[in-house]
Order: sequence, then C-alpha cells, then structure tokens
Amino acid sequence: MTASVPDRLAELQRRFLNGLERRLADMAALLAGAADPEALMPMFHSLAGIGGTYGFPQITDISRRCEQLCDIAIAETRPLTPLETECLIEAVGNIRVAVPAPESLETTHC
Amino acid sequence: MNRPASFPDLATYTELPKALPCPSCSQTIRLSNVEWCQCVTKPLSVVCPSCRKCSCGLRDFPKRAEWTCVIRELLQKQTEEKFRRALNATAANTSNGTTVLVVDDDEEIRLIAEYTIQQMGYQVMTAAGPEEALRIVEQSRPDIVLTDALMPKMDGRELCRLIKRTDSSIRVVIMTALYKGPRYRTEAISTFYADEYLAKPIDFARLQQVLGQLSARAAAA
Repeated sequence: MTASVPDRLAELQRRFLNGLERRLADMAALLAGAADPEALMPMFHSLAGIGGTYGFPQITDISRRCEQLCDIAIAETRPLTPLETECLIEAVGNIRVAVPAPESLETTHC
Repeated sequence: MNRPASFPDLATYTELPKALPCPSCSQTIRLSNVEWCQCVTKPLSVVCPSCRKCSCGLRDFPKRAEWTCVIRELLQKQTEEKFRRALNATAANTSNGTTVLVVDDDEEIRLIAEYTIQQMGYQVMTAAGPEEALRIVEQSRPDIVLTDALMPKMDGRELCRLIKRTDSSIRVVIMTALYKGPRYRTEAISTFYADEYLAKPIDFARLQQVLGQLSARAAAA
C-alpha cells in the first residue's frame, strides 16, 4: 500500500531526525578536537539548508548563526577563539534539545 | 512542561498570537514586529521593547526556559502547518510530463525534494554531484535542473554554465543556504545564466511556483 502524503512526510522527517544525531555527533567531535572552522562551516551550512526544508526552522536558525561564526574566522584566517568554540558547542546542544523526538512526530503534529 | 500562569495555553491557538506579556516587566510584546535576540546559542528569544531584557539573559528569571520554549513551539507549530499545507496542496496536481533533475550532495535534500516534486506531478531524477548530473543531462536531457550551489569539486553555478553549454533550452534553478544570498543570486543569474535562484531552506510553495513558470516557458519554447 502506498503511504499517504502526511504519512510519507512524517516518515521522511523521522528519518531526518534519526540521522541528525550522527551529524551533531560529528560536529561535537570536531569541536572537542581541533575545532577547525574550515571543516565546521560546511557542516553548519548543510544543516542550515536542510533543517527548515524538513519543517524545523529552529535548526536553520541556530546553524546559520554558527556558520556565520565559522565564516568570520575563515575570512580572518584564524582558528576559532575559545569563546566561539564554547558558543558552537552550546549551539550543537541547543539543536539537540530544540527538535522533537522522532517517535513523537506522528501524534504531535497532525 | 510547567508554564507560568501568564502564558497562554498553546492548545487554544492555531497560530502565533499577536502579543504576549513580557515575563520580566509585564509590558505587552507585539510578536508581529518582535526583535529577536541576536545571541548565537539561544535563538527565538525575544527582546522586550520596554525593559530591553531578553529571555536568554534573564538570569534571575526562573521561567526563561519556558518563555523561549513557548515562542519556539508556536513558531514551530505555525511553520509545520504551512509546510504540510504546501505539501498537501501539491498532492492534487497531475503529471505534465516535465522532467526535473535534482542535484545535491546531501541525500536528505535529494530525498525530500524528489518526494515533493513528484507530488507536484513532475518526473524526477536525482544526482549526488555535478559529474553524475552532467552524465544524466547528456543522456536524458531533463527539462529543468534544480541544483545546489555549494558542492564538493564543482560549484552549482559552474554546473549551470556547463549544462547551458550542452543544451541552452534546459532551465536551471540554483538553490543555496548561503546567508549572503542577494549577491550570489545576482551573480548566478547574470554571470552563470541560471534561470532562477531559490534560497534554502526550500519553500515548497515558491518551488512549485518556479517549476510551474519554467515548465510553461519550456512548453512554449
């Protein structure tokens, strides 16, 4: 049987949220290590584009600000400052808590 | 979640209310023209126009998490409804035979774009990068190419130029999440001959409008 539009949409959203943790874990690992803005910028850029597309504008909002922070450091050819790194670590945590649990989508948003 | 009594019950709203009381000074904050806090890590926190306090900075305000959360939930609810309405509206469309090639190195974007554009009635192909896209263009000549801007190895604008060189009748839409979009848009259209430019996150209603226009233009040509 073909899934209805809302069912398929919820399925895609759940799939995205399930994969989000892997993206955030990759970012957290980078931030815990060298915190290279050149490596982090495309990751936040990607998440900024994808979050709102899947109906989660808060992901786009946080990611875009993080992308800008990385972009400034890249433009100034310098590493992230400890404060910037701290902000980005907190931001990654905020993305985690800002999205609903994948299993909650079906019942919460219909 | 326990909310202060001054906050409205979300269940009674289907969209963002026009105003809410500031949890700090109780003055009304009009949400139609709200000033969002610019801090990096606490998005969707509002700045009260009266006391100039931001929910993220109210260290002595015990309910700041709830305040931020209320605004976020309302916006989220509103956006999701818009998102669903746009997708549901597209489901009623019928096929018009136009073929769309979606090019994006991010699988998540390819998946939702493919699904959405199919719902709009178009035939959809996908490519994970510019090289694959150029092969498909050579072999299948899609009517419209929807390509991401920032991809490894080749910029979407360069891909656009190569596609136009192969077949100038193929319509190309470049999409990007770059926050410095306006300058990029101008360059994409004037220098790289893109037919249209879309900002990410993808607005499905706008995407449907653009594909409809380009599809009609292709049919007329």
